[in-house]
Amino acid sequence: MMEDRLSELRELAKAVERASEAIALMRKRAKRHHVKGDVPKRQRPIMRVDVGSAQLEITDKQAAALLVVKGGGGVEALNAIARVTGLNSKLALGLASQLAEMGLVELIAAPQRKILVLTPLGWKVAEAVEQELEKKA
Amino acid sequence: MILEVDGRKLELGWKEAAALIAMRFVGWNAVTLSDLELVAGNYVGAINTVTRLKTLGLVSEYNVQGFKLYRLTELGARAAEELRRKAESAGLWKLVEEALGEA
Repeated sequence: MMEDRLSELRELAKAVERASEAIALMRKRAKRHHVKGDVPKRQRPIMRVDVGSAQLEITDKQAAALLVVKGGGGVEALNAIARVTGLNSKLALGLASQLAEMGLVELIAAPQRKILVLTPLGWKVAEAVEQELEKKA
Repeated sequence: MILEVDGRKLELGWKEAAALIAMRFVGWNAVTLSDLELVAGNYVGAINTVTRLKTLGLVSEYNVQGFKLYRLTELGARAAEELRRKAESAGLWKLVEEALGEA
């Protein structure tokens, strides 16, 4: 019993030591990839979507980003959003953060790579955007 | 080591435990395979570690444009918190705090 406890403690100590070394290296490496997002200023509201008792105003860039993520099956890389919307990585990250604050996507982010995952609300809004754009076409 | 989380007993090796701690406390919500190599020591170790963590339901994998990102599930986050609690009570947590302070 005592031996088991000691062996578990040794394993835990080894795990904590290695995790600490990895965290220090990961954080050091992350400084090279650090980008702070800025919300794009020039966004044109194109539609309103009913969400329960409230309405969400969706801009052209938000709509494009939602459609790209939906087209990717609900998961897409941030650089695909940047490519489609014509934004640089800083502004694309700002747009993604804005969508995350609206509860439409989850931003899954490592310093080197960021992806967006549609939330259930995001799916609903993306479908509404798609239908609206089809009607206008 | 055996970890009890939400009434589930999880048997983890030290590399799996280290990966959970690193993923939970590094300061962002996903890691790459190259990050996990730092934990496991090499590519094969990283693959084995993440495969085991996925099997246990502790990590989710996202594959976009051939690039993989890994994120803790809710159970994984709770397991990492349990590891922290154990490490704190054994007086081991200072190492992680130092690593977070250094960068």
